Amino acid sequence: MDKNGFLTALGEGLADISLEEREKWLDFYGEMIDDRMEEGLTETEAVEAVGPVENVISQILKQPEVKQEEKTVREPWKWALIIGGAPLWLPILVALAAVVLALLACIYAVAASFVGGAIGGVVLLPTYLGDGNIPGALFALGAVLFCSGIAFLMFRPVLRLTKWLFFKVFRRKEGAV
Amino acid sequence: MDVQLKRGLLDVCVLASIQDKDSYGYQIIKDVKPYVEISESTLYPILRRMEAAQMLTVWSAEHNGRLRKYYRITDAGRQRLTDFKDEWKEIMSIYQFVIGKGDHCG
Repeated sequence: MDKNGFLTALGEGLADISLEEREKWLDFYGEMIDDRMEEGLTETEAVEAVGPVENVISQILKQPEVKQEEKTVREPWKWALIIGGAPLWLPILVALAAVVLALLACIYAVAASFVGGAIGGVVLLPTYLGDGNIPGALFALGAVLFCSGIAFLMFRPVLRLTKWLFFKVFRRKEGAV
Repeated sequence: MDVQLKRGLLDVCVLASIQDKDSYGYQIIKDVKPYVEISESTLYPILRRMEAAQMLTVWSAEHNGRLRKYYRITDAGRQRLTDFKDEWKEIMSIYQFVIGKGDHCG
């Protein structure tokens, strides 16, 4: 790692302390690395001699003199942004949810309509036969076969989807059990 | 070594390394290391603390195209070293007491 890489990583690791303090630490370590290079070490060797940056960061944070900024100071900013941005993301979120629900409704509606078609065909078939309406009867038979075929094909996937949805929605109850 | 003891000793070690002439960070570490383990992350707070306690002063000088910080002992710093040497006599007698008791029990 080169000196800049080390100092950048160190700065990131010390993000929780005040800017002023952090700058002083970075200056100090920069100087230590420069001093070692003067003694004849290469930049890489000098950085290595100072130690792995993770160790340095934890050593610094352990020092009782190093005060870490209260984390709660930063939270209000986050919340302000979230609430302030609500007019933007809330409608999008609602729209997305609506789309998902609509898609689900479509799937069930389509499945139901094929089942309906099959049932309809079954009901109509005897009527057409009784009337001597051969084309009608053929149509009804075709409808029964076609619709029930698709309904059967859709049955298992739709069942799995339904189970998955139940688990997603009622997962906590499952856990409690 | 006990952490609290070490911290107190590091202070006087750093002062000792600058008692005869001004020194800078890396040189101080090199001087103290043979006697007690010290790293940059322990040295820097010590330097800051002693500067706040006015036992040393800091000044910068240009060195090979960059700024280097030098540390100079003050009178208060020298006083701390004198106190340490005096305390040592007390510490020695306590040490005798501790090993003396040990012999009786062992």
